[in-house]
Amino acid sequence: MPEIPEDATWQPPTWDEVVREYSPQVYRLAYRLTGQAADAEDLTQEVFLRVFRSLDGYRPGTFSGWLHRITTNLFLDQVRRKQRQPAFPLGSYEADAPRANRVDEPERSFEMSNLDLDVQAALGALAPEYRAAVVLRDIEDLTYEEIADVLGVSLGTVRSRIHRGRARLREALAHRSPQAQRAAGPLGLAPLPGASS
Amino acid sequence: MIGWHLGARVSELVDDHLVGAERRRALDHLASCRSCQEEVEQERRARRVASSLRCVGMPAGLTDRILAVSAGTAAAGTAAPGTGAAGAAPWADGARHPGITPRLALVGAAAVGVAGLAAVGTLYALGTPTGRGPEVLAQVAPAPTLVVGNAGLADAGDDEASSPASWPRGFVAPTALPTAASIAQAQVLEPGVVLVELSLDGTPVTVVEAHGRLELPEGVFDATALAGHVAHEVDGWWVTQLGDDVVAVRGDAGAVAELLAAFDEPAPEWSARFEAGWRVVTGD
Repeated sequence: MPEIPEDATWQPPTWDEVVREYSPQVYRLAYRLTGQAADAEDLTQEVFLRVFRSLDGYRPGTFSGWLHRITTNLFLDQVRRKQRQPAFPLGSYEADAPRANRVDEPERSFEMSNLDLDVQAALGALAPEYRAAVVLRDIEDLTYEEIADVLGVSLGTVRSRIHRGRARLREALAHRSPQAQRAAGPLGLAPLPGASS
Repeated sequence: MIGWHLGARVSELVDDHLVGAERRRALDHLASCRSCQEEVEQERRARRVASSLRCVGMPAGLTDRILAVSAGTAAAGTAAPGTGAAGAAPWADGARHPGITPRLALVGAAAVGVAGLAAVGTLYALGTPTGRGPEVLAQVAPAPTLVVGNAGLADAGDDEASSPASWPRGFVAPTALPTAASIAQAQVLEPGVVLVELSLDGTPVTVVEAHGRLELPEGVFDATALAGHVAHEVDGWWVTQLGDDVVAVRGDAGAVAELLAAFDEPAPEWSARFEAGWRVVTGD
């Protein structure tokens, strides 16, 4: 159990401070997992509600790790629920499209200038379990052991998911490989993703 | 080395997760295997590409919206950052706040279409059921039917319907039903959860009780002194802790107050658990 300072003047951080410190981390993970700003925002809010309600169930460990676990598992639960409901309402295809295809969101200009949209789209095309492993490793910088803990799977499964996830990313982003870039010529006209060469 | 390649070990090598003899063996192989060299190079490139997505901008106002929801303030985020209700430690804030969106009340609850089951969802979201087991069913004499997800209500029988004796056994009960009150139906929704439908002078009142402790974050829901109990308004239900049960009551305000007045269990101090958990977290 973490030590609580005996100093009588010590004050625990406020809930306000906790939310401000950790919400960017939770939102980043939520956004990379869901691939959409609206879904990421919903997921982030749900994570903090869950945290708020579950404080007395918290067991010593890193707070960050707890947030990773809640965020990832809420995401995977939602995906599984969705998969059990095959009938999607009209318009869901657009809502589920990779972020690169969305043009009507205020963060669009930020996205355009800061991110490679096709990378996010490739990430979004991965199976959720592979996506979670790759995001936790390459974006959140978790160790294999931490990922195994978050996902509740073995180290071997983590290794396999990361490897396969990256392999599929490579396939989806073949147009960005040095060979493809050279083949595109000086104007940079790379072939479209998925186009046969 | 023919017939053996690094395979998925490439990921561990690139991530610097291979150690000792395993790492030496992998590096020895790599020195002489062009195929694995290419694999390693491509894996590194994939990792670099994925890592390029680390930068994500938070939508403006999201933090305030989270704080607004957890503080029970309007979703517009009117609470100034670091001040007032949203800025205080949750247990330290005794102020009452406006209601909260139904979404908070029913987070985690299954989709429901029946009033009683909706209440169960509320109770699950707010409390921690404890001590539930099959034996609870046997204690509930007037509610013989176990129905979850069924719109039908079990008939409690008419012979004792106007007496508190017909209140499900094993659950906190009113000491005496108000005059002109009668139990119309009672039903076990699942072990440890019971639904009672009453009529108070012709006005319907629904009660759902679940074994467990009410674990509302302080300050999120309106707390009101109602008929001698501290009740919280959650999604149209008045929820309170009575003895070992979380009790939710819905109906006309006067009828709800009249019914709650018939319970003489004191409301316990539940914020201590929340505070203890908070200190575990913040002491990290």
